[in-house]
This record gives sequence, structure tokens and C-alpha cells, in this order.
Amino acid sequence: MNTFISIMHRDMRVILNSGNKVFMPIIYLLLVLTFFSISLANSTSGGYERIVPQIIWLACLLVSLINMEALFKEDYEDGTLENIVINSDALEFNVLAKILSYWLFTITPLIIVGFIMNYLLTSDLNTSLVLLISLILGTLTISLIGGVAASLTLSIKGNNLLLSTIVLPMDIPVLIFGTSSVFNATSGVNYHSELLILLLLLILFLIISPFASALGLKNSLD
Amino acid sequence: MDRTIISLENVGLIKQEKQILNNISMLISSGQKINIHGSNGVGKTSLLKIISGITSQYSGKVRLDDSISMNDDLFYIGHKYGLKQELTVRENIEFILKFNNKINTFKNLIEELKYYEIDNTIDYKIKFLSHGQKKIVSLIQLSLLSFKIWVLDEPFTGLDKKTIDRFHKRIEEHINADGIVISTSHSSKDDFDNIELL
Repeated sequence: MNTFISIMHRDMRVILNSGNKVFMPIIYLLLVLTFFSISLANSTSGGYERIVPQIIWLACLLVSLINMEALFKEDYEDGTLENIVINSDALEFNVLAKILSYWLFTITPLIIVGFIMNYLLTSDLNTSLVLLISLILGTLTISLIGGVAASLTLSIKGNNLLLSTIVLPMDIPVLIFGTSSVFNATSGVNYHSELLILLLLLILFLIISPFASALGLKNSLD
Repeated sequence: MDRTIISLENVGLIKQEKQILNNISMLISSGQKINIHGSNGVGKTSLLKIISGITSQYSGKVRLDDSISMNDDLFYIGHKYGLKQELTVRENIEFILKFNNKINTFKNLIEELKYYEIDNTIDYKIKFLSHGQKKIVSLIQLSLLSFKIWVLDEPFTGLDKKTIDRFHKRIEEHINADGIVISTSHSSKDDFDNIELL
């Protein structure tokens, strides 16, 4: 438990030290929203605010994918990863700590901005809350999936292409249930089952991902 | 010089279809300092990585004594310094000590920095330090962690003579406390047990 906290504490310092890692995702989200608004404002004849939640969902997914490769990269390049791997009693937990701190300090601010933007653009509090919950569940799952892919592709230069390809099929279910939960909420239909499936996917990858990522890391250092 | 702690039996390694290490056997006992030397590309670093368990795809056997666990007794310093560029010296050391449950030696950090005469850098980010200073900070981790086995990849390159002598003193203290030092370099060293890789 001590090692878990020490890793989260260190990663928090590293991420917050460079404001770039916190603000870039947010800027990207705002850019995507702006571009969508400009390009769709005339073509959807008043229905734009109905698809705002889905656009935000999609933007959050894309932004968390873009940054995924950096998850273990820095530790790999400065050599701290070797010490973590050698001196870990349970590498799985420490990998989980890294994924969680990545999510907590770079994705959570993004989600909160997404929630606020959605409320400002649609003034529909219920949908915004559903968006918030489904984004929390969804992006955490995506980070866990991305952790596996990032660990597997760690030793490869220019790994982003391979990483996205590995992640794509596993991210699609998350995207489907995430976007349909907010769509159901805007349409006033029941959305509980979608959220439950998102929760199920999260639990599934919470169990698999730390072990798979730990193996991937050991393999990449080999 | 009594108890065998690490034993290597016929260790071999093939990398990119090339035999790098072939039939290497050695016994390492507590209180021993070993200098593995040889020309570039003979597999010094690879051998260290096998000993510290980073590389697992090798032939032969590496055995550790039952009293030793890789996680809690072996510290590896490679070519990369193993320090976070964005964090200060203090934060880096604080992390590695907390991570290994040795935070009680954190108070000795300033003394150690003073010993190497770089105590003014304690609140500098690592990226602002010179190569030599980074190396010193990574070596300071060893004294503060007090792990039994030190695995060091070319610990003396990039350091001035004064610093090397100081670090030698730390190595002596560690050996006298029954520790083990396994290091690499390009040439044989008089006060080490030398093993040449061909």
C-alpha cells in the first residue's frame, strides 16, 4: 500500500509540475467542441444541442487515446521503470497506481470541463450528470485498456500507431455504451442498463489490466 | 568472504540471433566486490540485467540465496540515472525511499549531499544538474537505501577523481558490512575481483 501511494504521489508531482499535461487535454476538448459547433451549426437545424453530449464523449475518448503512449514512456526513458520493476513486491499494484494517477490527474479535469461545457451548451442537468458518470466509468476503462497496450508497445519507437490499433477493438464497446447512455438521457429514455454495462466493463478490465500490463512491462524491458 | 549469495550456472544469452553471453558461471559471496570488464558490446550490461532479474529470456541458471529477495535487497543503477527529470533531488530521493519503505534514512540525505559537496542542489530539478551531479544523486540512493546487493553499470564514468575516491570509500564501508557490489567497467581494477568477458 505504501508503494502504491508513493507512486501516485510521485506521478502527481510530475504531472502537475508540467501544466501541459493537465491543460492540453482540456484545450483539445474545447477545440473539438468549437470546430463541431462551427461545422454543424447550420446543418442540423436546431438539433445540435441533442448531439453535444456525444461529441463531448467522443472528444474525451480521442484525447485520452492521444496521451496514452506517454503513460510508461517517461519512466522507461529515464530508467525509473527498471527500479520499479526490480523492487516491486507486487508489480501489478504499482502498475495500477500509475494508470490511476494518469487518469486522476489528466483525465478527471477533462471530464469535469466536459460536464460543465455540456451543461452550458444544453442546460440539461440530468443529461450532464449521466454524461459525467458514464465518462468516469468509460475513461477509466479506456485508461486501463490503454495501459495494457502502452506496456506492450513500450520498447517500440513510434508506437502510437500500433497502440491505437491494439486499443481500437476493445474501446468500441465502451464507446457504444457510453454514447448511447447519454443519447438515452437526452431522449428521456432509461439509461441505467448502459451505465451498468459500463460498470461491468470497468470491473472486468480492472481485474485483467494490471496483470497484463505488468507482464507487458517485464517483456518490454527484457 | 564466506557465504555464496548469488550463483550463475552456464548463463548464456542470445540477442538478435547473436550469441552475446556464453556459458558464464560464477559464485558471488557476501563481502565481495566484483568488476566485470571487457570491450564494448561483450554483454556487460546484459549480464547485470540478468543478475538483477530484468532480463528473463536467458539460458542457464541464476540462483539467489534464500536469505535474499530480489525486491528488497538488490538495487540496480543502469546507464540511465533512474531519476525523474521534472522533480527535485529531494523529491526523487523521497520517492525512492518511500517506495522501498526506507523513509527513516531520509534525514541523512543532506549529510550525503554534503559528503559529495553538492548540498546546494537539494532543491534543484534533476534536469538542471550536470551529468556528474545526476550520477552522484543516483549513487546517493545506494547509501540511503542500504540494500545488500549493489548492481552498478559503469558507476565511475563521468565522475571526477575526488568523487570517485569518495564513492570508493562508501563501497568499502558497504563491503565491510558484508554487502556485495557488482559493477562493470572497461578495464580491470586493482581492488576489485575482476572478471573479464570475452
